[in-house]
Amino acid sequence: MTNMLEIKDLHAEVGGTEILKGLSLTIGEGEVHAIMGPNGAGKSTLSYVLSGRDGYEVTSGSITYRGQDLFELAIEERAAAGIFLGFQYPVELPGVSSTTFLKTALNAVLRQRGEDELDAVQFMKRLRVHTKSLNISDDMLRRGVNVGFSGGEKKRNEILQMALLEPYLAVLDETDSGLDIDALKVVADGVNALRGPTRSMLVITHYQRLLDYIVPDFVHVLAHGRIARTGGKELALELEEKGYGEFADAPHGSEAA
Amino acid sequence: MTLENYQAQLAQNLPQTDLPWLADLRQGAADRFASIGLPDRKVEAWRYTNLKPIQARLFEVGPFEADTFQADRVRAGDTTPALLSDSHRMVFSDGLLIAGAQDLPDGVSLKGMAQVLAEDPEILTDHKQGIGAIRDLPLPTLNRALSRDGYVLVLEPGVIVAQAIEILFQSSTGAAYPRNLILAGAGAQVSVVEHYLGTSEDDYLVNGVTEVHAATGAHIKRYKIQRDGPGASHIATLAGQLEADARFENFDLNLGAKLARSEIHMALQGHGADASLNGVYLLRDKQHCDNAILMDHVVGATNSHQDYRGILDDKAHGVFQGKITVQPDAQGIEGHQLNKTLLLSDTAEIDSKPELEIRADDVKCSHGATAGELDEAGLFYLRSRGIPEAEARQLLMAAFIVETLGHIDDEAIRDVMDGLVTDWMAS
Repeated sequence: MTNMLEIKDLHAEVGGTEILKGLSLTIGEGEVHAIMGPNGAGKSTLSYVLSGRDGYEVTSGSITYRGQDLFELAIEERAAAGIFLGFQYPVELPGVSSTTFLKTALNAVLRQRGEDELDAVQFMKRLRVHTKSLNISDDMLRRGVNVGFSGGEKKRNEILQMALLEPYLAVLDETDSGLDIDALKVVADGVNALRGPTRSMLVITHYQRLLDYIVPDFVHVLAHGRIARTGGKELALELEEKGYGEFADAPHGSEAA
Repeated sequence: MTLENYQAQLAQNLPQTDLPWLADLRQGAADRFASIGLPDRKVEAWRYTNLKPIQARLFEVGPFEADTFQADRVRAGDTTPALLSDSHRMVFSDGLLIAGAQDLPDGVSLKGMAQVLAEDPEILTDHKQGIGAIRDLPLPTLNRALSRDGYVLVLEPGVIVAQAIEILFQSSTGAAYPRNLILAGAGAQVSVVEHYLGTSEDDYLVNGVTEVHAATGAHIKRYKIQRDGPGASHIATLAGQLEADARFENFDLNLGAKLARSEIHMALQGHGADASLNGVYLLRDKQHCDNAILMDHVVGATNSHQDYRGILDDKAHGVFQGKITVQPDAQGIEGHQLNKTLLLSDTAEIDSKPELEIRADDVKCSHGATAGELDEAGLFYLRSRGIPEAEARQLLMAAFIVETLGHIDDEAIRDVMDGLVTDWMAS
């Protein structure tokens, strides 16, 4: 089996402060990995480094995505190559209609993948398949992107984007935050429907709860900028019981943001 | 050439020099301008705009050709660009009519100002002096002294003009002083597009005046699309008087010229009058655009609305000065004003000066001004979905002004504006 993602000894800084301090992680094709960890361990930093956000500076190490050096790709090229980041806090874009946004994104990705773009009719047809199962109303599609959406609607909208863009690697950053149990189930169902032998997922979460619904193949504990422990899904339960106490002490006395 | 030899060299370039009242009016204006001159930046209304660049061109008014207003003859071979596929068109070139409107519906008269002066100057009887609010201002005064032509649109009461009227002012050199007049009878309705287009890179000047009189219940929509040349100066003064229940909607799209000033004086004179003044300014390089609005709620139960938004790049300079005045006893009015600017570079500048002067107590007024950069988080979000950076920036820019463009309720005209705006963003 080829690897989807290989992160080797990754060091990354934000605003001159080192957050990731030698993180290594390998994700195989079709695998679902969960990254858990205390607040400030560097979980969101990892998701932003993977997606290429400005201000997250990699100082050493490597990330190989489907055999390719990830750092050579711009943000949009990573998306086109099949990396999807589900945002912890999806951004509101007043004045950009949801439908326009979704169609522009899908066609941009199709174009970069060398596939035919969809016209309005083809696009709406494809959109309908997903909006129905994710319970996304026409009203949401008419509004500005994420504008006036509830927490649950925002997260469902993230999963809708993921479903449309058909990524190889989905990075879901705290997808459970701000969701009640019903909303969580809808989101988890949406994610599970997208699981498949060629699609890998990296589920970032603070709480074990999400992993009851999106059951991972591997669980990693991220603490102080590196993977402190790796196990199966049972590790999540153990963390739920014991908390992150054993990972609390910073080995070098540094604070991670 | 200067005003000192106005009679000898300038006045003779104007149409209908033999009309005594007109000659007097022009001479009076010339005298007045000679004594006041161009405003400098010590004048509050001109604090942000330096008029020095137009000084050299002020008096370069070309000769008036007496047969210009029989311009229908060139209509067949007209190759000037049209924005609307379906409209009544009229074309001015360097300030003179070159193609007149045809097939106008009953109750509508649309002619060149020179033609009106020659054929039925009585139309102008009540409008010789122009609207008081702008009469003594330097640039309208100079316009009165030097204007050779313009359009005169007269709508009889109750006339509804289905097709828009599109008026092209193309310029390439010298100084043009279009003087335009819209007289809408009670209940009349019309949409007018004034399209200013540069056909050279010359530092020519356009100093135009448009006056609007809307009788009871009339509804006028006026759209100005300013695409003058990159070296040009475009000065425009719009003055309007709205009677009871009249509605006036104005939209200013500012794209062109090196120096642009759009000044609007709107008087809500009858109960129920409503003015909606909106605009978008898109500037780059060293372009300068100054929107100055004076909204006067003369009587009660009147409404006004202003929404101006701009996107500034490079070393562009935008100015917005908007004032809402509520006269004593003008109760039950509503006046709102908003100015928002997106700055794409550190060297672009916006000066925004919203003002309220309220002398009545039962009013609902608001004003707001913001300036900001393109939202970095939004840009990242769009790019993380595969949208290339340039396209993502365009989406955010379009989103910034979409609400303002939404005030244009003629669909065909909004499509034209959308197209021009999209072209600007993509270039």
